[in-house]
Amino acid sequence: MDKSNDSGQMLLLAAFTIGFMVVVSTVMLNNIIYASNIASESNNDISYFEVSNIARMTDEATKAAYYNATTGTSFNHTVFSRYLENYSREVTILYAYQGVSFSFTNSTLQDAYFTKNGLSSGQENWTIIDNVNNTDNFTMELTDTSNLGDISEPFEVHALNQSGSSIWCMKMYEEGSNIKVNVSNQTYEIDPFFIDLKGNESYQFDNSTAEKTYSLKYLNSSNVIGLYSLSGELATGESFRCERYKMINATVAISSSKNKINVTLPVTVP
Amino acid sequence: MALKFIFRNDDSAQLHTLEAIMAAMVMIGVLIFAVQATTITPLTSSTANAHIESQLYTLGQDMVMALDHSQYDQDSQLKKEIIGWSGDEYVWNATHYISRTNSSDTISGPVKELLQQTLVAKGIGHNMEFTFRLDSENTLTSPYIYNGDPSDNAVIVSRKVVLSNSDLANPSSFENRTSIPDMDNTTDFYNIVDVKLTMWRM
Repeated sequence: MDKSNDSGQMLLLAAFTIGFMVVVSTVMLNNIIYASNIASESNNDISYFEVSNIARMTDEATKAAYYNATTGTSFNHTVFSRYLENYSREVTILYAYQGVSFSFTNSTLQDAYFTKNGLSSGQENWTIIDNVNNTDNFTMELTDTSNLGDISEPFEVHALNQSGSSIWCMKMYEEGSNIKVNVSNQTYEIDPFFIDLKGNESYQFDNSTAEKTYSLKYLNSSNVIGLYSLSGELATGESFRCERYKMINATVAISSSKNKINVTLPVTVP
Repeated sequence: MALKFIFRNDDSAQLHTLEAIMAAMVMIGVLIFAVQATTITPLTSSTANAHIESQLYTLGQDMVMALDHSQYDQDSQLKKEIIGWSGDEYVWNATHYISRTNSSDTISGPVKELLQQTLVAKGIGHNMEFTFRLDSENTLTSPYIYNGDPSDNAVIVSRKVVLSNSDLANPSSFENRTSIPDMDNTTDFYNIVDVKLTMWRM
């Protein structure tokens, strides 16, 4: 009789224990699922994807505005500003539908360094273009050579073959008050306001690069300020054009109910 | 009166405890199995679906970012797709995206290749729409690729593309074809097209 009474109590206790453990484990599992869902949804606000989209649009719009403003004989600042105002207005309205505030301001046009992003602090050793089959035009106009070093630290332009070896090289430096270039151990005094790297036969650009696939690279490019223009054909048969005349700082402010992001993008034009 | 303690040599309590622990472990095991099974069921509307949506969202972002890439003064593939759009709606017929109005008109090029190799190959349902502003008050969404109504757990990835007059060979012909209007007649600014890629598990 005593033994069966004890068994009833034990069964009840075991049932309570099981029930308690089920509740605890369910709550714990639920918390894990909830936490991971919150984490997975954390990218639904202003994400890197939206910022990259805005950066890309702003870069394209600024380049197109510059192109539009230089269609005539000289740069038309009114057209340039109006294009960007219209762009800004349309983007603001599109983002307003998503509950995101957008504003855009641009600086004045500035002379660009030859660095990757056009700023003095930008990457100075960089590849302008890869897989070139043929270059039709390669010119430079240096508006400011005050940063140009002597022969120990020259600004260099290299054509590299596909194994990375230099097949053509031009070194530009200051000697006294003159600007000189050295190509294939030959030194020439130049006018920095217009340098035709391809057209000037003394530089032997065509001879060195003919029937080869190569890339073009700048070294120590923070030494020079100005513009360059490069066009031709890629190994894929597509045409290319790389030009840089000026640069502009485009500042974009994006804000939602949770985040606010200010981004200043150096845009090189055209 | 002296207290009298009775000690019994009985191991049934230990057995009950052991039984309770075993029962609890079985129930927890069932619970874990149920939760795991829910996670891998794509169309179940549950909190676990957030993971599927997140994966689709990341996949879609990578796709449109790759399509929107360009270099050396060339248009991106996404922009080329908009510029070359006939204004028709296309549907997947197991081999090609064909126009609803003219079955011999199909989509070709990198956008079609990417959608086919990434979404069609994985059995992911997808639509692509172009949203653009008509005037200062109205916005229009036109289907470009339409493969049916998306499920409740569909995700939308959006990529905006700027169009300029210089991108278009003939702006008036483009407007007639696509209904995308020129929003600014004073400059080369044309319009901004919001490309929306909707994806869902089938």
